[in-house]
Amino acid sequence: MRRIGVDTGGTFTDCVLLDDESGQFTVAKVPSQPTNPAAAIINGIRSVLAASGFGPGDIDSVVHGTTIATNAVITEDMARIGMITTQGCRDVVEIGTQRRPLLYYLNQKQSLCVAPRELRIEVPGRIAYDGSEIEPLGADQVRDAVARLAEAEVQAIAVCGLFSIANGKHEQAIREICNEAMPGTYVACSADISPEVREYPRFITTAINAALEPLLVPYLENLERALTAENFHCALYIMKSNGGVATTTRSMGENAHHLVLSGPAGGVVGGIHASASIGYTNLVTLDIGGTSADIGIVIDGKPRTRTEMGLPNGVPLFLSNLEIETIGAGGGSIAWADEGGALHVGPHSAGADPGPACYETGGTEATLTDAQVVLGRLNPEGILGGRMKLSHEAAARAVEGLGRKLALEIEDTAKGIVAVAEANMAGAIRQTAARNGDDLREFALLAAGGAGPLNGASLMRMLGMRAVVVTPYPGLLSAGGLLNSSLRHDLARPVLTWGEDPDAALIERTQEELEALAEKLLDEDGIAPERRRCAFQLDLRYIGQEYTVSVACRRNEELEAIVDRFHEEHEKAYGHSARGEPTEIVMARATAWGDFERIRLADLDAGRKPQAVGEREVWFEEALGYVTTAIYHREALAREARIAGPAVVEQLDTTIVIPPGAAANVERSGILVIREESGHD
Amino acid sequence: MTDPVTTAVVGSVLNAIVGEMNEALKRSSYSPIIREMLDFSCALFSSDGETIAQDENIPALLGSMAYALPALLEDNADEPIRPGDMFIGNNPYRGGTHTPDIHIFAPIFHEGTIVAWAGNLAHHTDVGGTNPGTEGFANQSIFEEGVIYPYVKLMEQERLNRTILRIMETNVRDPQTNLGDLRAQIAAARLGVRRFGELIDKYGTERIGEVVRQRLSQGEARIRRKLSDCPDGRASATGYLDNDGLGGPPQKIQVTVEVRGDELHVDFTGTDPQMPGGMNCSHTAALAAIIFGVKAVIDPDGEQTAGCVRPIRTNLPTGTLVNPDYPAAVSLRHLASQRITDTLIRALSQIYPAVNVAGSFVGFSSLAAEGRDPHTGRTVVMADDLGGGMGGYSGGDGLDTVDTYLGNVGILPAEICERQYPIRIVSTELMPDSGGAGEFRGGLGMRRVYEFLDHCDVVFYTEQTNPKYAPWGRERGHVGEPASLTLVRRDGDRRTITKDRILVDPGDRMVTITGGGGGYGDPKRRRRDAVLRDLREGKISREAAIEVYGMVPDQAARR
Repeated sequence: MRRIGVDTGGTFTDCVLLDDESGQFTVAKVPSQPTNPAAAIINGIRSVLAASGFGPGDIDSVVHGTTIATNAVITEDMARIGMITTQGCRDVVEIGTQRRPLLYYLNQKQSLCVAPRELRIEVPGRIAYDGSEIEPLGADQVRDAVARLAEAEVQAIAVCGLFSIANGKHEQAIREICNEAMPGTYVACSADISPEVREYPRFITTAINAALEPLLVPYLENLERALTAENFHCALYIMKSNGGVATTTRSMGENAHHLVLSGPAGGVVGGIHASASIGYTNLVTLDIGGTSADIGIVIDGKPRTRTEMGLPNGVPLFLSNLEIETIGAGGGSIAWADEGGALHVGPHSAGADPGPACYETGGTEATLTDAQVVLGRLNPEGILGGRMKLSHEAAARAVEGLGRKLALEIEDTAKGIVAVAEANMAGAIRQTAARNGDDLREFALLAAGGAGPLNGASLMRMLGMRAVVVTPYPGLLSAGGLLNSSLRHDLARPVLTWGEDPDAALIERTQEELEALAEKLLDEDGIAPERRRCAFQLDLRYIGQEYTVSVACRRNEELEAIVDRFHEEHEKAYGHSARGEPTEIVMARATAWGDFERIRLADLDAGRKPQAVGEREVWFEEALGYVTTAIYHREALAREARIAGPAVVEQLDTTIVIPPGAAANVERSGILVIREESGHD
Repeated sequence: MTDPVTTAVVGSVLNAIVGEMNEALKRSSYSPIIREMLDFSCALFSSDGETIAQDENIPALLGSMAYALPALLEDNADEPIRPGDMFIGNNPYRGGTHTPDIHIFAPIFHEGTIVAWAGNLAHHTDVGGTNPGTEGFANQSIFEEGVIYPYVKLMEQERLNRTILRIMETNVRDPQTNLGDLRAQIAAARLGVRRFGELIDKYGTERIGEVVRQRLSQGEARIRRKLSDCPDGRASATGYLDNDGLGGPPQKIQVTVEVRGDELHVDFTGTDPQMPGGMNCSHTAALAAIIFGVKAVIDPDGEQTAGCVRPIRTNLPTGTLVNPDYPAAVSLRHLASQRITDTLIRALSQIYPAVNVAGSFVGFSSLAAEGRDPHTGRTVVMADDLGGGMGGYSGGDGLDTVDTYLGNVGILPAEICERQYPIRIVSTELMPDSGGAGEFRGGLGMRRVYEFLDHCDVVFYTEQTNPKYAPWGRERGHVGEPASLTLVRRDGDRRTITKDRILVDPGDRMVTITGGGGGYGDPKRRRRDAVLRDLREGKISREAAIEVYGMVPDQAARR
């Protein structure tokens, strides 16, 4: 197979082409075009094809990670939608949790509600918690509501019924009326989109789904057309927030909101297989870009997922997604002194515009990148293979300016900026680990992004981690990750039954339906039977608790054994359990996978000892000063090469710093691993 | 003197330690009030009790542990403190806030001396006393408010004191929850001790001591600088509680603020004497309310340490409702706390031009019902607290229906309520015209209707039902609408309530309306498109658009 991964980022669109037979890996980086993302994608694909020598007809699939949904929700610029909801519920999505986004600000801006209030229409009809009907649906009022929404020219309709998860009949009836009156208009029913108990998260997820659908469909269709015009006839897959991919058809409709974390998900799954191939299956992934750092967790080779996420404006979304923590610490993070003379780095960033001072594109404030230039870690001759010059002088001027405010020498200021940024990253990693009780000594750090490998070894030391793993193209990890994921469906059905007095027939029937649905979906996706996998979970909780624990189980497994495991898992996750307390089973889940080929990178030849291409003065805290440090080129390193620190390895998309006392080894497939030298702790 | 870099790096580590303690406590806690409502806090302290770092979950606990540790040290002056000891306390008259807030403190030793403390505070759902949930507006003394732990050793050299656990489990309504939460607190404190130990190994106690001193003085310098930037001046404001919890008259909170150079004086002289009911505000809780108010006004994004508090001088006269004499009841201190913050902000706004906000809703309309689980028949206690509108500010409208100022708790979902309690939530909606009119409108309050499906024993309370004490407007902005509670019996009988405990029957309904925020600026100057949008969205009525906002009737008719 030959596959292309294309990842649209804020600044660049990254393209990778992998030939599974030869292991040949070709990369291309082109500028993104925010107003026409597809044009940049086509440019990138053309470049990567040209560089690889393959033609469109040689390609078996294209996998795409997109930020279009992410940007739409961040900028609150989505489709105009209407909502039809149960009497007394139209403000549920506007009131939300009644929590304030910012604790201490008296003047905070109200975020826009995804559907304007006059387009949220209530209709009579009420279902009770047990699914019984208290009041029949007011069909006439529904027809009036649809007529009003049609007149308002809404692009989609969210149908949000109270207790629709216990009985979806009212929602279905509303959908039918909508379909009759407004054929062709997308209708999302809350029980289908997010079958979770608790009306606010379900309604808001449904509304966001409805508001994204009219944007994503034209985008994906346009992209498909553009690929066809380029003579591609292969499948197009889209990365979802859960780290799995889906066909374009399944990325639309009721799955539209699953693309919200499409971009960053590739960065977490990107290094899993490479790391596992050299024995590291527990990973903290750290992708450091220009403005922020994304932290993800991989346990036993599987990215950790969760079922809830918060958008930047505080709005929750309920969907399966990778647990990614984002902090404002990137290369462009600005260092500053507050009114009390304390030093801070970030969260404000110089971003790409005006950029760090050393770019000489208008930035004057000292950034993390400027500090790295002053300390000699970044090559002043330029990064990106010399395509981007860095001005040591401009960096020094900016850092010196900050130093004057702090009464510090320039070097002390620069190393201070790096130290504070690294301490912030280490703190965020510790907190992420503490959330799940992970012991960082059992983890390797997967350093990615342009800036990750600059800080990786220092963080490994601070956190007592096992190693730093740097894949061959750490700056293209997200794009590479697209080719590493499986097709994935997360299916769920509410069951709502008591753990000690369960309706076993209900669960059996539900799991049977889920399995049949999984088979049907994978079949329609064109996944061969031998490449299909399906796993089941039941969500349980103690009665009175709001949140649930997902317990993995077999189909038709004895429910008593599952409840028993729930107590164990609860103990593991939360440090306590309450055997004897009544439990309830609230949701049956199934995860269905369709596996693709795994990336098998071409192995490097074992060759001669690594040769330094030069040397420069680089500051190391361990040496308490500048050290004459050997510089290597990554592409010249052979398998089994070993480089003892202090050393710097440069490559097109990143710079790797190896401090004194540590050493880097080039392992299988050219993966570089930094570890403490034996005897050094 | 240590360099600013080490201070910043160690500072970042200290923040990460409290952050990690915070995650550990949340992860292993038992009750929703901790895990979902985040009513807890973790902190590190210097050996003499000053706060070095504190996490941020809920503003009501801001800086509130700082007064407990000095009291602990005083009360245990003759008691040997050894490694592996851990103290428990909740005395509102010894640095505590109210009895449900249980503090845990663990000393951190290095070479035989205490060099720091790790501590945390968590709101336990019930610590015993007259009312389920312990809090009660009608409580007449602290003795109705559960068991008081007077900074005794919960753990001695790593050995848990079973006597205390047994006293606790015998005196509360749901011991499993208390003990579960306590275990989480112990685990979090231990983690803090261990992590701080690692920090000592790396930097040494002397250097850490210097860093802490510098960190506190940086925080102090930052606040002093910000106060210096504020013109000198003096202003007063008064705020009222609707009543004393036992049907008595409105209760006055009087605050005078004075900025002099780089210091701020906050004086509550003139505040009414302590109340006979349970809404008095303990000294510590009043200080937390002051610290929040000052922070919100001049330093919303700064890092909070003990240093930030040094430039603030306070006078909380004893025997008043903001610093009651023992043994006054204080469990429902939140209502007075919110009023303290609100009144302080109102006073500060007169001398600090940058504080261009109107008042927010502080009524905290609440309901706590004891009834039977519709499925199992077990006794269950349901609680719901409703937010209201925030004040408008120069540049924007106030947020609609949020838990304001010191609070930040979530609303009870209708689907959880009806499934777990014999109570149906009939409707939850924004209240049109409730936000104070203004160029920048106050946020709207809400209206929530509960229907009881079974017999329940219900405690209802709210503040700000009196229009005179509704959220204040600024710069010709109007006041927000007040709150109300109306019990509608199945036979149609209606009764207005401010605070009461009532047995309700199936079919009875409670209509809760919370207040809107105050408006900022002259409503006639509100942008016409904003008025039209409000009108279109039904957030204001047509009458208000014409009469208050001065729309031409034709325009207002067009939708």
